[in-house]
Amino acid sequence: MFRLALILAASAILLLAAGMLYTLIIQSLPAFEHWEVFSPSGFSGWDSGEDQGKHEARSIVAGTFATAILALLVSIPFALSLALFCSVYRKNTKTARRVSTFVDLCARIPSIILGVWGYFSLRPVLLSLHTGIYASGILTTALVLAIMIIPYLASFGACLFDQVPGNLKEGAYSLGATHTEVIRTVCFPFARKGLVVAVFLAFGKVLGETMIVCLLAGNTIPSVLVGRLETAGELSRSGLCALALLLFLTTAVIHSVTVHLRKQTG
Amino acid sequence: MKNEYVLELKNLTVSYSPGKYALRNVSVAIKPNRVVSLIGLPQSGKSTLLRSINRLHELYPNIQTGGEILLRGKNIRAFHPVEVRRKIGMIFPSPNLFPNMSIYNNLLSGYRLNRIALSKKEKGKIVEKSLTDVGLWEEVKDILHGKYDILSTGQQQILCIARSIALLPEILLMDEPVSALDSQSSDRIETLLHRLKEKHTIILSAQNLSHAARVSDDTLYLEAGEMVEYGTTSKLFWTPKDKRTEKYITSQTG
Repeated sequence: MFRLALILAASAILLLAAGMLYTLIIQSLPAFEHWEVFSPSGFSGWDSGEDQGKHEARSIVAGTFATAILALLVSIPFALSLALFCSVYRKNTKTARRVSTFVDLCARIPSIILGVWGYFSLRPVLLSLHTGIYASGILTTALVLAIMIIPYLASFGACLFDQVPGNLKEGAYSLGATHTEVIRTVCFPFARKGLVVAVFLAFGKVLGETMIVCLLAGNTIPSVLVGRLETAGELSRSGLCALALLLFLTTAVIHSVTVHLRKQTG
Repeated sequence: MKNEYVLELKNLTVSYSPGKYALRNVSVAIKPNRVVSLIGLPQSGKSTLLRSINRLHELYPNIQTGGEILLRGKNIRAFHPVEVRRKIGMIFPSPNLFPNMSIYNNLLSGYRLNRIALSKKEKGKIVEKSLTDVGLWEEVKDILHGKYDILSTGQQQILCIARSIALLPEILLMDEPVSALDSQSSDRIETLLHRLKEKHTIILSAQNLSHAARVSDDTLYLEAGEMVEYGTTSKLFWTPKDKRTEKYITSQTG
């Protein structure tokens, strides 16, 4: 009986995912038929059905990816620096322990709080730079998303650098290497695959983040879904499902690549 | 005037935490081209002594060091740690070759890590010479650009020695260099030590007393971080001055 319950629980999650995918595909079919979403002109001139304005799926998709990539580009150098500070430069010191604790604490801040902070503090600053609403929206979102994933990436990176065998690092030091050389020659090559996995996981996390993008940017898939789903007409609802499907598949691909890389890393 | 001693330790004291000493007031002077064995029970301070000479302890901020270490009469603190480590090589208990490098690049890693530019011809010469000096040239000359993992642990440890001597250090520190090896590889390294001492001063820690007796010219006996006795190996093993040395050697050799 117990065994059956376990099998049912395991099957339920698979069925749930399959059901979700099925619903998204079925719901988005009208949009695909109508607009040829993935053609070069895909989605352009998207009519909401009830004249609520025209959207361009391509710009939404581009906005989503641009925000995520920008967030990664900003966060990676900071996160790696933090990880190296804690795990190589000041390893086993009080300072490193305090910084680590603070990083862990930051990782637990709910994203809505970061979003609110970005909305009230960062957005006005960027708007005052006359970057334009669209650019400042993307920039603010990317920066806040970067702040969100820095602690996550830093913790992951620190764990990876901690796993570099001590005798390899000491071997390099004993040959006259500086900290920088040890990082370049020993730590990075050893942690390289793990770092790629961490970046992919962070990318998936950033793509799916909803709270921050809803507050700060109007042109990413999660924010468009949240903002338009309630009022959309039949056809544009189907278009929104197509966007959701795209996000679902992208996340699935990222997850598969991560699993594959993890297997290689061991 | 050239200093008679290559290395002098004066009241060397190392503590891991306040009041907890790993080494206390160790003073010893070592002549060049000698093989010196450090003997003693585990936790007696042998590895700590070696790591202090190489200044590896300075990588760990909680470790406090007192006293002086003189290299050719000059306090090693007058040099940058990186410079000291170039002059004083270190071999660890198990091989620690860099996994992302070929045999060839591992041998030249000391130069690469120190950003010393070499021509292809110079690189080739250094690789051949260091491998010849350790007696490994014939075994690896055809697989230089391959990975080292096809070599036995003993060969890898010898490769580590070759990597270290490629930088021409004056002193070679060896922290239980044969502890992870089979008897055949261990014998090979013992033979190698006799050859290496022509060009280098070797200080090694040894768990195995018969190994220490066979390879070393001088021996230093440490007990709970204190130097009990230092002298030529034959005298220390056969006619020790201190009762504690005698007790240790008798208990270890039966």
